[in-house]
Amino acid sequence: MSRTSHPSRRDFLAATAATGVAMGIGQVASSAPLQTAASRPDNPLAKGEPEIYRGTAAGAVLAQLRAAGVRTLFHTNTSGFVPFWEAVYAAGDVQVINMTHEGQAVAAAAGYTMASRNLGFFFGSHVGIPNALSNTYNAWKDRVPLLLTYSGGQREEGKDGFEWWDNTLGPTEAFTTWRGDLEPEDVTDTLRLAIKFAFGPPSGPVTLTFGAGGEKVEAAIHPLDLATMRVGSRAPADAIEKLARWLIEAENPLFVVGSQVGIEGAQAEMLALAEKLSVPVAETMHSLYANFPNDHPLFVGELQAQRYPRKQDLLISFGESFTAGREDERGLTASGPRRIVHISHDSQALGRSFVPDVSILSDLRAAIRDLSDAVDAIATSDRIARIRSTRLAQVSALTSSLKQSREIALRAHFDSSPVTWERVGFELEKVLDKDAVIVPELGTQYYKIYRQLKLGGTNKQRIGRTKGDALGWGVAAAFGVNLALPERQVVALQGDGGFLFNQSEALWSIARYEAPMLIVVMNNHSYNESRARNMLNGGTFYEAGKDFNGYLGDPNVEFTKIAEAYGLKGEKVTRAADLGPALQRCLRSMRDGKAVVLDVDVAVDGAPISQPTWYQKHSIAEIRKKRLNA
Amino acid sequence: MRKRLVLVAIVLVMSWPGTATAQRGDDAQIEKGRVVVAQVCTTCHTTLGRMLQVHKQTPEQWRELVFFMISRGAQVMPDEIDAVTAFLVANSGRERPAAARPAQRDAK
Repeated sequence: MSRTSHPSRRDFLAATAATGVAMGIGQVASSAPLQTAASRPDNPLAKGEPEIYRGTAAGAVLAQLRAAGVRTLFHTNTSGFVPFWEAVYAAGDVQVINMTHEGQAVAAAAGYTMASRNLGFFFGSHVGIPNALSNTYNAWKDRVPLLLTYSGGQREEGKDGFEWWDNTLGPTEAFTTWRGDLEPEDVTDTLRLAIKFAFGPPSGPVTLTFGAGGEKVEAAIHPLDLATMRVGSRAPADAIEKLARWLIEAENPLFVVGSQVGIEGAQAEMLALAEKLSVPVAETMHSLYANFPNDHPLFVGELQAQRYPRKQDLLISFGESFTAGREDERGLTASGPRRIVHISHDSQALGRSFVPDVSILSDLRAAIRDLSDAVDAIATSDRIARIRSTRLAQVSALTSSLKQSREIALRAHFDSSPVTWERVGFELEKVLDKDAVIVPELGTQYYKIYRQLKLGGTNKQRIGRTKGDALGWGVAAAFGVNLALPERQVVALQGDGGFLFNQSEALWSIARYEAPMLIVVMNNHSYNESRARNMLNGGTFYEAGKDFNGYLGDPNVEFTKIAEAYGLKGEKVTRAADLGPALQRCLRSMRDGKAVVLDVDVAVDGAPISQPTWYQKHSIAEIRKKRLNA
Repeated sequence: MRKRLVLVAIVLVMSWPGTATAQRGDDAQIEKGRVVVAQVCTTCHTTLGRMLQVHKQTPEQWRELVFFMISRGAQVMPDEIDAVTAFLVANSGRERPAAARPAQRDAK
């Protein structure tokens, strides 16, 4: 019997007390090396007497979700949820979004949550857990609060029963912050605990078996404010003061702005602090949101690409945890910063991928404001102004030159066909609304589009690419974003290879729920990223000009026809000159409420090979010995 | 280990034999390109020496690659584009002939 146990009331009290919830005390960050965190004043859970719900256990689940402000649920086909459906029907104000595959449903729930900062809730069959795993992993990497609930089936522990394996939620263990069972006897207690674990920190998916059915229960329902659900922390004044002194004295500081700034919605505070001392701002290539305006003179691009400041003497990470062993690490070491400071609202992220000189556990918004105030208290306004103006001239000269270089690169093949990636970005920037939301799932070529778009600040927003990088996320995630932000233009940027990772299923929901999105398929008929990497250092196949993995053009998929099969509009562009007019038609369709799949023939990049369309051929029709009857 | 790889790549590029390539381009331009490549490219491309050895491309293709990398985020300034291209042309592809890029064509 290896089933995950559901907590008793005593366990619940112990667990919630440990996270500072039930007793109304703040989290103490024992793992933060240089500080203790201040208490969070507000208890985000019970205030006053709860309402008592009387009805079915499944109805209690819905009642508690509604008391937390959850009105959108994601579902994939299964039997076994009749009492829950009855509760949804009776409530009248809850929308269930049907998806045709568990993995796509999880991606949609994640996109919805990332855009709304609400809670993504999914219910479906436990036999769909393997289907859901890939995007559960992505959501875990992105630290997205999700509750993924699964009907339990008929429990047959140890017997290899129908639709059964032991330890039902075991496969999700690596990608969840907690696992439990929604059972009638303590259904809403467990649900609230699950919500707490989902919001963390660390936040992430929680999986639950959904054992709450038609049983009659009396259950306590507490109103929950999801906006304050994440347990907060604040750095002590002496740590902030020390950092402020370092920042003022540093000749070449650099800020790295990460996902937690976006998660907290602290972009305005981040911008103000950077501008105060004209500190250049970088991001990592795995940045999840547009955390800083990319057209700002202080924005210097990716960390590992930095030329200026060549010799940093202070690097402060604001909520960027970095990715161990990849480009981020090179960025951290190449310029040899003497001091690295890591600020994070997640104690488990501090020092996980790299070893900073100073770790500070704090909400980002609070840390940024505190640091700004400390700078004002330490330095005179004249000194701050001198630092600001001198450094701004230096950084602006760099970013202005880089902008010129990008313009040269854009114009070099502006009218080429297949269309350049830069041109696609340029045309999108021309036609999209200023507050459009971009949801990319592309390889590193994405940056060629990204540099042409104005993102962050008061400009367009970006959600993704998922830090998990497991393909098959973007279309459904963009659909989830559109559910959360119906007033915005939402654009999914997809590669042809990525689209073919089970993504067409999401078009069914996009059509059913009339999500007026734009899905751009950057079609280079190949897994270009993999090919480029595989060929980078030469070798047998590069010499032969052959690539076993990369070519996708046979069969040459007509993505427009896939769109039309779902009743959506399809547009195909092969020439650069046709892109602008095609985008105008796409916008008209979106205005009329219908999504468009725009298939753009784009250039292959990377080292050219002599036989780019070669693949290892195999024909069953040719090798068969026996003719089938006609 | 990563730091060491980057260092090796920088040293490799910085010690690239300039005399052997003198007749293939303008010396000063190539030298300028070598310095920029060492600063800009080796941060990510730790195997740059090997890459240069195996990839034979035409000057136009190398120039396209420089544009590609600028768009991708490489911090090459406008007055360095020719120099970086010259360095890559002068020092690349000693192991094989150039492959044709099949797809892209400029509109007239």
